[in-house]
Amino acid sequence: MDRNHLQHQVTCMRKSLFDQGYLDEQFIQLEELQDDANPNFVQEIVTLFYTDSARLIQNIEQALNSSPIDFSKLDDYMHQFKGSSSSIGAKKVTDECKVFREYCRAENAEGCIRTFQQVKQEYAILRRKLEVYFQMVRQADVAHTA
Amino acid sequence: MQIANSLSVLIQQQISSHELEHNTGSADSTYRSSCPKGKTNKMANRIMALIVDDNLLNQRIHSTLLNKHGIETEVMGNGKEAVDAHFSGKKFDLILMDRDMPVMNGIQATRKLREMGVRSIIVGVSSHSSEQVKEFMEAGLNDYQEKPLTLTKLTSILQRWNLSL
Repeated sequence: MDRNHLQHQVTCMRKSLFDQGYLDEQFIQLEELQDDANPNFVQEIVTLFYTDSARLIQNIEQALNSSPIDFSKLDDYMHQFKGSSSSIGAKKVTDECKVFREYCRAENAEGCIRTFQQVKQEYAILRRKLEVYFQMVRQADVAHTA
Repeated sequence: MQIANSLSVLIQQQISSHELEHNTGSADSTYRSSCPKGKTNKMANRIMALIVDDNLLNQRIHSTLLNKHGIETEVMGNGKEAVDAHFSGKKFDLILMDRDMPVMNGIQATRKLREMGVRSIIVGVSSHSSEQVKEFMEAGLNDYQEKPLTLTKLTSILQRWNLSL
């Protein structure tokens, strides 16, 4: 596949991630911080996000499965999750986190459990899309330097 | 809108008192007393910043942001580490203080640092509502910015507090 075509695919996919609301301006901030001193900055931050999210998802699962539910702890975990997701510009994930926190404050266990499924789903979708995106970026880079 | 205006007033007051502090007569030479702190550092060392945040992503993002401005950074994961570091004699020109952290949060840490006589520029960084920002400001912040920090927000902080190289 020629390099222009690959680059075009990367540009299209990037645009669709923004147009479809998966990512917001914060992702652009990360891209702007990437330079020769930090050549893989965006991927590095996204990888940190995956690690942080895995930890928080596990904590939230445990908290939701305990009886009685500690809503204050749940809110704290979700606050952290929302912090991380907004730091990489993961818009849909962040929005679901906000909904979860509202259910938390209302101490609505059912609402929390339902919304948490949404959070996990949005996270999984975004992760898949980003993995495809970065693979394309790497392929385009290789073609560029070939 | 009203809350944003009150916050502006609070920050303006902090800037005025900071300028007053640096222009008040002291035993220092005329040059030093007439120059804001950031500019004298320009002659001597690089600007040192401390990032206090329990979130690994923000630690990395804020470090890189500051490094891009030529500012050296150190990172700590909670307020207590920051306070202990100052007890052991560490000094920073700028402290980016997150609000919610385990062990000791940003409000407690800011209060403690001010009690210790720490005069660094402390900028609160958080994602809280305006009412909660007031409590954070009153703990002794010079300034406040909403998370996540961007290049633009950081530039405005550095310019406002004369911390640009």
